[in-house]
Amino acid sequence: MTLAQYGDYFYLYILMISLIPPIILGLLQKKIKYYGAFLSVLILITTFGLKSRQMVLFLMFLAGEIILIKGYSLLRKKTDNKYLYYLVLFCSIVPIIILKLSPFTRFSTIGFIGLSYLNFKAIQMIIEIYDNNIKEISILKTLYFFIFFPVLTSGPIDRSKRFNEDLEKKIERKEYINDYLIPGIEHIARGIGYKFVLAALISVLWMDKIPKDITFINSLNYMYAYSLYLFFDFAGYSAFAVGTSYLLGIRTPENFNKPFLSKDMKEFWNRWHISLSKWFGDYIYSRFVLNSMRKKRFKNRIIASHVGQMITMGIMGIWHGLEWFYILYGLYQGLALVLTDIYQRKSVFYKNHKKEKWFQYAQIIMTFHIACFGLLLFSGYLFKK
Amino acid sequence: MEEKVLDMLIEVTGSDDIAEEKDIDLFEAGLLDSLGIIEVLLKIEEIFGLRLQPTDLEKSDMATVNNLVKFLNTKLS
Repeated sequence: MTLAQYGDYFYLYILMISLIPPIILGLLQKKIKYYGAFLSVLILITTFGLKSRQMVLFLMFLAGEIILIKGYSLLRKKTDNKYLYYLVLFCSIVPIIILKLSPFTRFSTIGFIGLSYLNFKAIQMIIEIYDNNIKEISILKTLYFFIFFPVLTSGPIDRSKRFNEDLEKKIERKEYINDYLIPGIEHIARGIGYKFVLAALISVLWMDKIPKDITFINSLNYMYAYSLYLFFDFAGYSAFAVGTSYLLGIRTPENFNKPFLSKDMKEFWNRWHISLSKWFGDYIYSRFVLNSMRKKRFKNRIIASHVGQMITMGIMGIWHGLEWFYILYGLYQGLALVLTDIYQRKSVFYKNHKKEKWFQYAQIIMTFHIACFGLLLFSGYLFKK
Repeated sequence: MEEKVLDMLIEVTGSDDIAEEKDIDLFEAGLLDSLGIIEVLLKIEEIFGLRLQPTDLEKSDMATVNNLVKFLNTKLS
């Protein structure tokens, strides 16, 4: 029997019981990490199954990436050769390439739940080792970083340096209660409310009742239903992940911050699936624009930024899968960012009114619809036959 | 150091007011965004000869004039 992470009440029940020991450890000011690692292994086994194909692939992934990371950190001390870096970087990306391409071959999908997310952790470590930002690699800490179960299947995507600092931190009792236990429980309560109540209700009472034939009204209806469902489901999942992490003494970063109150699409991406957009921002967009400006690839920085936005969002689309509506979704998001930027730079009307309340409300409504239409593309609803 | 950092940030943000408020959060004030961060990194490279990647510093290191001065002081010492 396997369990889906935060998937049902039974999982929740198991989770609650297994979170009692870390709370006691936290209150006694003892280290939580050993129990956290032990629990992570147990949950891994229940998620993948002990002798399953997923488990084998997961262990292969883990071993491969750890060898790459540790090996490259040793090599990096001797050389900063670019081609070696590209080779190692490519090797670290191979698992996700196989995952995304395998459905198109005669083999069934080669991967495991959460691979898309775990792979980010490996890629970012290789990049930061090359940057000399990560200098020492502890194999045990890196292992724990990879198997840390609260964020195993869908993030939020943490950073190894931040994670390691949390592992080393000595937490006083009062601090544990106020900064870990209480916010942790609040997050888990929000997770239950969002995922098990609101998302479930939206799904059963609204989304499932929309007729299957694709008309304008049905599509519009589905767009609202799906957007709200996806938000409550994923923000709920993320709240579980963050809350569980807190109880284990790890301050996993937030993933959502009231995204539907954004005034433009740039702001939306700072509030929606934050850890993912931050990842793409840090490792793709910023680096692309920075390198382009160093090498003067484009006429000016604005063009460099726009090309960067299109490339970044395009890759984000492909990362979701090679179905063409994901790619369309990525390009749509890229275009939305570019057009927002052009509008905000050029429009006199925008500059004159942007501080006025009524205009900001209009912006919020507009952005909500641009975002929801993107999610409708993402859902694939329009392209089902 | 402080003067150089201030000049640099005034040039990127286009706002003289930050000279008076060295603890104002440049992101919250809408003076810096993701492209602004990159421009500051390029300026740092140009003025201090320090080549940085976006992940070498936290967003908070660049959020105020004073924070950036502090960050660069530790990096360059």
